[in-house]
Amino acid sequence: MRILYRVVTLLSCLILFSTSLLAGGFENINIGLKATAMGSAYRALADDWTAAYYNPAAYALINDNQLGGNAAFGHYRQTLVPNFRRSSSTDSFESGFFNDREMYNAHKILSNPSGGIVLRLPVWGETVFGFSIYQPFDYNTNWTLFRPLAAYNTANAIPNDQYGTDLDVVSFQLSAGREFKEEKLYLGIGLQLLRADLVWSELKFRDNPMPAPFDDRPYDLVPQWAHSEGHGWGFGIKGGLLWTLTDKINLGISGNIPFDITINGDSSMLNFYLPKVGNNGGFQIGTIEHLFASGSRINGLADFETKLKLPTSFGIGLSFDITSKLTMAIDAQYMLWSQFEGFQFSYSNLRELSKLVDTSILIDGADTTSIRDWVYSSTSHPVVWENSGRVMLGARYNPSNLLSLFAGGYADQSPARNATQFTPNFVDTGDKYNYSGGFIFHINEWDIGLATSYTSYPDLAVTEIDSDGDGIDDTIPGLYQADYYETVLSFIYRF
Amino acid sequence: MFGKMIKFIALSLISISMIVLLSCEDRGTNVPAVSSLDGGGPWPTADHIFSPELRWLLSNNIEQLPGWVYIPRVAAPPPSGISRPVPLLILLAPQGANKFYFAQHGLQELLREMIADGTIQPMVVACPSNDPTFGGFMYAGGYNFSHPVKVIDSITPPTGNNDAIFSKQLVNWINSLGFTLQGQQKTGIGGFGMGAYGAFRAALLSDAVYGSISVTDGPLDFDGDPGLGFGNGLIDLFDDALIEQGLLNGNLQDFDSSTAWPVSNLFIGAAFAFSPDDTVLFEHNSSFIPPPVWKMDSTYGFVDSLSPTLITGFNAPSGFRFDYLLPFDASGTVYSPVWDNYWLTENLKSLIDSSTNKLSGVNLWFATTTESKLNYYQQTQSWISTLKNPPYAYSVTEKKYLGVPGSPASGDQYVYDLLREMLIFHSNSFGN
Repeated sequence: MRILYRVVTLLSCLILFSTSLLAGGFENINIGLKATAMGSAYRALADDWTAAYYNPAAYALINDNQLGGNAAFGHYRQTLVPNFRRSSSTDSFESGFFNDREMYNAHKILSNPSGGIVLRLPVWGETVFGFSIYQPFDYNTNWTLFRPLAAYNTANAIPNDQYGTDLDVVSFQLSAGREFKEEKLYLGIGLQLLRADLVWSELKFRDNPMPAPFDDRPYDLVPQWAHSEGHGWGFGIKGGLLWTLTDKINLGISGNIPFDITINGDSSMLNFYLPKVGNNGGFQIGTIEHLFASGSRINGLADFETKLKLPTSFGIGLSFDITSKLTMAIDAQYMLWSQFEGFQFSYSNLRELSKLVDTSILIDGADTTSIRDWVYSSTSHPVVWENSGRVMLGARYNPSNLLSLFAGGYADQSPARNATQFTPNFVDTGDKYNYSGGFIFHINEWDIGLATSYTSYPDLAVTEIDSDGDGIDDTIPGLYQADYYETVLSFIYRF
Repeated sequence: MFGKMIKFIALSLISISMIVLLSCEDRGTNVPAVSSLDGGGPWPTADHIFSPELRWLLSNNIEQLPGWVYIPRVAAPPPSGISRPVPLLILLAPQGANKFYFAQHGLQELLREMIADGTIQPMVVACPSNDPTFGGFMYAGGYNFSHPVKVIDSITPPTGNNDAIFSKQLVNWINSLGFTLQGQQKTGIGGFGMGAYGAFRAALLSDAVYGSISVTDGPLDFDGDPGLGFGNGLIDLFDDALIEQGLLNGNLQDFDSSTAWPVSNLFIGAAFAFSPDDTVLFEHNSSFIPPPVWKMDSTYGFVDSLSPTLITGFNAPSGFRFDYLLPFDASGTVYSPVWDNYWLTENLKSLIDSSTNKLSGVNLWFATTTESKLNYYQQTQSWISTLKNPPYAYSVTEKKYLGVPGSPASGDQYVYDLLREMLIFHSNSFGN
């Protein structure tokens, strides 16, 4: 009981200090039906293949071989009322953003399949092995928020995926769990091969290198649409411990260390939408000045490389068998989101620029700009996130052998709550609350079920921040609102 | 018990289904449709010969005033339009800017957008060029400078008879094209920088031609009003002109007319308009005549404009001079014979005293910023003060603005944004 007391005390402290802890980010919190339905309070209770994610040690308690699969369908439902203007202390000047209008992220139902197999094999005594494929990190959103002012350029339309992130990190995990102390202590480990896929779009606003008056408003900022697609491979380690404190109480502790993944791609598009100045600025056709005043577009193509720094995490959970039919679970997790630094894209193998763009220099007073360098200067989306935590609570109720019911939720915080570079690429607006529920029918060797969850994000008013003092906001200011819905269909076959 | 369970499950399924349905509803992205635009367009070669008014204008042998004119769809003839006359707005460019100045700050697109969405009523907007030789002559130039009668069509000084053109003939010419409504209320004028002075000058010299004036900061009060904290106007720039050329306490004969010196150019252009020295005048029906009254002083404050540093393109016939008198001496101090007798008489405060209508009934709009260059803010404030106080006590709309960090409103940076508000002001002034 002393241990139980300490664990409860520890969990209570985690809850009390949860405001200083953050989670969220782009972690895929829910893997599998039961965990989803129980608010992910599953470390001390994991009894199916998804233990690979929550606590590999729990494999040791799985008595059957099993094959399982989930089809999760998620929907990020986000709203942004932009307020991106160029502002002085007395005035605000329009920018082309759809200011003061409720804008929605592109509607998309995200499918997120996962599955695994668990086998109890007579190896090293009796060890339970498993192989699973799931997505520990996942994020997908896409926005159309901007159209150049009519006086800037109406000739070339910027693609709709102006601020878009499609990040998938898939884990191919080999896991093993084994009893180390009879009916008391179980340990598990998972070795992950991680595959990261990134599709990234964003609008940057670059200083127009032309001299005055051709860089006066509204020509002062040139929109740059950068679109990169690439992938990379990496590794990770999971480890876990499950301790049966009493007949009715389990303690689970687990952690995950993913290593950095280098993402490469060979088709990074760097498109610049140049202003259409009246009379084409009076410049002679064929000059770089004419190009920059005639509403043209510069298309650059390059290979790119960026680094995905995934966060280390660890957590602790307790499960209680309140009655023979009712089990409660509570978990807490801490995640080192400060390791994630956003994306810094560096380009190589630059190609497909016209000779004019490739060789020209623009002069503005004492400033000279190589247009090639201007096009291919690295773009970055740095973020300063903070370490984070989450507290989860869940319940399982078995009214009969035929049916199990689940309910749960969690309180979560955003690692980006103090972010100075808040953009629509990651909409994580602050402390979040999740409510979940689901059921499973047990039919012979089959478990078939459905769970659904709703995550409520707080509203967040993002203000203008120009941290580097270049006169261009580093944020996309506005009022952000978000919700997340997820439904999971699941089956498990025991054999 | 089993029945209750079935009900519970059924309710759960319904609830879950509702959540799923809600979460699946497609809201679209709410991207607004592309705005419709007025089907009018620019007439970029609205260049008109004003003869004899421009006959002896420096570097302009064809006597032509270049212009850019926007004609809204309704004013255009069929089949594109319905030939409905609309109000007229004339916009005067700042120092050194040509007829495309406003087009190059988005005027055409603003008009097409704002006319189409009803923000402003359709209007013809005419943008004459400022003079390219010295960046402009303050839109000034008439035969008899120190006297109230400014407009003598038959006489053309070396700056062009701008007083005749901008006070009435430009409007007359555009009205003759049939696109515009006639009358003071339906005619407006605006200007930026030097064009602000030109707008007020044209309105003061004309007899109720313009019903609305919109300007940004400009040389609107040459001597300012230090008593009210508005500085000394252009006087504070005298030494700046000499310093930028390295001529402070040097030889004024070396005063360079190169466009590399913007402050110097301002004074040169104004000097040609206000205080030419022995520059000839041309009377179109007879001969070249020297104006003795302008031959002030051949040794002091006099600049020989045919010096080697004169900008190219002067096209001066041999034997004729194009000299001018600066209002300051080599130390940057006021040279009273020129300043008092030939410059201050052209100051708006003087012109309004001697004008007929004194801007009575004219709607006035100012955009003014402390960040403007060449003491224009102080001069503008001084002029606004004159207009707002007795004996005029006019109502003045004043928009104060500042640039964003890193991009102060020292020059033309915010023309696009100010144009939007100027167009709305004039549209409202034109009435129904």
